[in-house]
Amino acid sequence: MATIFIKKILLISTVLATAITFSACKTNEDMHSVTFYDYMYTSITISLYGTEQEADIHFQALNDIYETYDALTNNYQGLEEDSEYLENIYTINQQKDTKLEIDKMLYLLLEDAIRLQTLTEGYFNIGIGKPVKAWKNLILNTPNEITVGNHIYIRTYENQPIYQRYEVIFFDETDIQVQGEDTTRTFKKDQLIYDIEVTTEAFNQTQAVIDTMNIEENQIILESEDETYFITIKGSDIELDVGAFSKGYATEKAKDYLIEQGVTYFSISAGSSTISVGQNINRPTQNEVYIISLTDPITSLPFFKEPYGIIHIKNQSLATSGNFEQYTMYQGLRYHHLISPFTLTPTHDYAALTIIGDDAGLLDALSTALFVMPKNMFDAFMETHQASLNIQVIRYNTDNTIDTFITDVYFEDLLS
Amino acid sequence: MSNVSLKTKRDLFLGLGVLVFVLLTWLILTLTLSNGTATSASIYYGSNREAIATIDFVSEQISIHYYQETESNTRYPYVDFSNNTITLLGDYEVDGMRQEVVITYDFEKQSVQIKEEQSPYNVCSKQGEITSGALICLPNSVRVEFKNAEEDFIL
Repeated sequence: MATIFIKKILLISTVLATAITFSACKTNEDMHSVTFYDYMYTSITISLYGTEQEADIHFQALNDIYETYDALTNNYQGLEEDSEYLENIYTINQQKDTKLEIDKMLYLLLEDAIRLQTLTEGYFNIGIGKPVKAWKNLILNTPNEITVGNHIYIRTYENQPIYQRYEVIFFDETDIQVQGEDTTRTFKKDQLIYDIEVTTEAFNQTQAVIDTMNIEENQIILESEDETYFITIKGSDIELDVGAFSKGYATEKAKDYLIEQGVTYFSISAGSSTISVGQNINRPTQNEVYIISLTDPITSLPFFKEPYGIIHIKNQSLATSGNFEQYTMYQGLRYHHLISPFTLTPTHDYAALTIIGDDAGLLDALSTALFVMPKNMFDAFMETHQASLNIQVIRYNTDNTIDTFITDVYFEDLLS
Repeated sequence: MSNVSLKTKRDLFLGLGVLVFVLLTWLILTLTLSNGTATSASIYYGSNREAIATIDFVSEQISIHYYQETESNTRYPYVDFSNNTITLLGDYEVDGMRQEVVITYDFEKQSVQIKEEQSPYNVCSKQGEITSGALICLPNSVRVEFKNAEEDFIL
């Protein structure tokens, strides 16, 4: 009896050894990566596990997805002359008060966007392209060079107070002399990083332009008849901008494609603000998670990203919004391009938001909507919708505190 | 009876031996063939989020991801495989000319070092050889960041 048992062990062991050897020989499967640089004004990097042939097919299909949504949602330029599409966001903006036939894909995207507008009680709004552009222009108007009289915000690598506002009183090739509230300091130019404040004139001009805008009369009418789809936009200052949604929406489509194709090991990083992942084959002993380091929005420098937290995700998506990538300084505040649809100005409650969930499109839109929501409304929104939307949020407030709305995501707070 | 018992014991040891061998084989294959936890250093230039070059210490490969826009006839970055160096053009100018930044790499030691750069204080070349963390050449807008298996994305 014992001999039979042992023979069985021997047999099983041999079969196991053979199976493992054969599976190990299947070395043609590997991780493959591609980066698209031409879509949605960002870079999109996709990594997946499979054979080279499979990767080629998948990358072509994923390229087509991003190419399609990039063409349909571009609000800076119209479609190519030989484009297969009817209209895009730019061309719709050029034809207000006109009922336009649009492609089903764009219609469905816009329908989802309108649904999110309702869900967020108007804090997500795709009709505020005009004021968003005005603030983006102000950011671009930030002086590149310092001059005497400029106000600058100094950040150094040393343990000095960061983000102090100083007035430049002297500078030459190597030194900058600045005047603070009660101190004059001299810095070596090459040893510090500084943000230059926009001029009061430029800021006031932007604010004056914003004050004339009226979006209350905005109307976006979507209609469909017999598989034909239409849009009409109305309002003196209406301008569609789906930039806060399209990248996530396309990423969700890309993720859906990979899952349909049976790809389990993959990651999609769209401009580092939207990420969608499957399982991580490189972390077999860590439950195949992807580890994400969250940049500290207050202390990080352009060349040095300091993390404030670490999260683990697997078979999930993630979106972030922050005030530390594209911004300009004015009177001690960062003016970015995430604006409240109600005040039409950038908000200052939060420095960074990270939202984890399933649907990358939903997360992308929410990361903008929640960023501009006052705290009491934000908290109420989470109370009402967190479970049904299956979202988890890490909120880095501008007062340096962190609030978490987490149920099961692993989050390591490196600051506490 | 005792013979049978002895044979049983011998077979048992043999069986267990094979099992241990199988498990060891599995462990070794898993560690060597599952891509492991790749260790690399990435070189960044300017405000570009994409690395301009990557040094992969596991596969012992250098990847150039894009070239710099320069007015020079030399295409930057370029790799000198005989001296294990990667050279790119920094932003620091001497007499109106941007200066080269030379980075050395050592696959065996899994290290990087800024060998040559022009800047007022030579902060980054003075940092010496590193195997983790980052070298930041501020006046040259060049950063060498050691990337290990600690994180997959930085947001």
